[in-house]
Amino acid sequence: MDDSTLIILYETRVLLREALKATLTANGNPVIVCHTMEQLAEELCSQKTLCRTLLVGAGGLGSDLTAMLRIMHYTETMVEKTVVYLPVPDALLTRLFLGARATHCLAEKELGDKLLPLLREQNAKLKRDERLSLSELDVLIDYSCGLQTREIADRGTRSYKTVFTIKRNARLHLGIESKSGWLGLLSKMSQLSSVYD
Amino acid sequence: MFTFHLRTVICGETYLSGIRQSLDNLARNNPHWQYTLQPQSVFSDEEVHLHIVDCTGCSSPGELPADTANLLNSRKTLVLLRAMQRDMTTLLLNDYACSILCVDERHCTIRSLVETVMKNRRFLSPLMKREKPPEKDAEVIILTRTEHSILEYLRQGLSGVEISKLLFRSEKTVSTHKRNIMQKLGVSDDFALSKKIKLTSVLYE
Repeated sequence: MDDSTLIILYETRVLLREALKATLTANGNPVIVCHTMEQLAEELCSQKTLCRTLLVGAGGLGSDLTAMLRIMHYTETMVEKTVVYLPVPDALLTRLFLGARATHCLAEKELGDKLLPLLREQNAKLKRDERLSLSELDVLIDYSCGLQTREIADRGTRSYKTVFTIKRNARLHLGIESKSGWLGLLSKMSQLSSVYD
Repeated sequence: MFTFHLRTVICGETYLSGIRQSLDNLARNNPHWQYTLQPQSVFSDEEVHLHIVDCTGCSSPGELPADTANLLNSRKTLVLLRAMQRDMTTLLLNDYACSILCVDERHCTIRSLVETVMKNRRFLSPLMKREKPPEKDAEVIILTRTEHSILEYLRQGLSGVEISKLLFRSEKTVSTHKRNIMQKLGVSDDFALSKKIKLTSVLYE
């Protein structure tokens, strides 16, 4: 990949947005900065070329976390790479974003060293058993919003047992073996979502 | 022409780049204003208007070198923190005089920072101004000694089976204590319990 890859940057935080815009522009990459979900959706759907990378700052998502997870899942084939950077290194959140079809996950402190080399390398395909299906992502998001299994089943056209099965499959794909791991993931999603509350 | 002198004591590369870009934008829009941004180690006779200390990787001021920690008592020291560093934020707000910029701000401007510092006032970015000490928000719930020890294990992420082995109680007994804890905290599922126990302070009976 050459350095004229278009970067679609979704970063709501001022400092990081300015820093990354400057770094990528100095590297010769054209950058489109999106401040809102609507703007991001418009950019992803309007461009026809595949030579694009979506760069997302997870720490600035706030209440848009679940919307971003869905957008990443839906637009997997519209971009060549999706790179997410987390406020701090976190194995559970890394698996979550990779499961939602991000291709790479970094920590913010690694951006200086790893971002530019990462943009140049070839894509590594995520193993099929680490990716979440749309149903699994929907159920995970519903649990993270505090819904109970019965309520999740009632919202869709699924039975109570089907929701349990989908949850079990999501846990398998995310490599979560224990209940505390599952609750830990939901807590971290809740923390990320409530930064600006 | 006025020159604003900044010195970085500790600063991550990414945040430093963001601050520099914001200062460049400010200088571009104000032709009679310029700045210098250099590491602390660079010797200079000029008065330093602002020191920048990046504490996004620290959990307490004790982790900083002594001479850096001393700077935290000055309003002309700008500490960078993340929004999630609640304990560190409370400590700096209550026990130190330094200015604080949250790196997760969406709407903070460097202009307001510079103006506040030049007036010799403490600068707090909007997310930091909203931060309250945990004691004011926390509800006080009274638990028994056993309930308290089980709550601490739950906070660490242990399951009921693991707790029962540690405390030499049956699983049903631990389950009953956990149900009582959830009743007292006013929650009905494990996810709500995990969110609640981070916010609540408890006392023994």
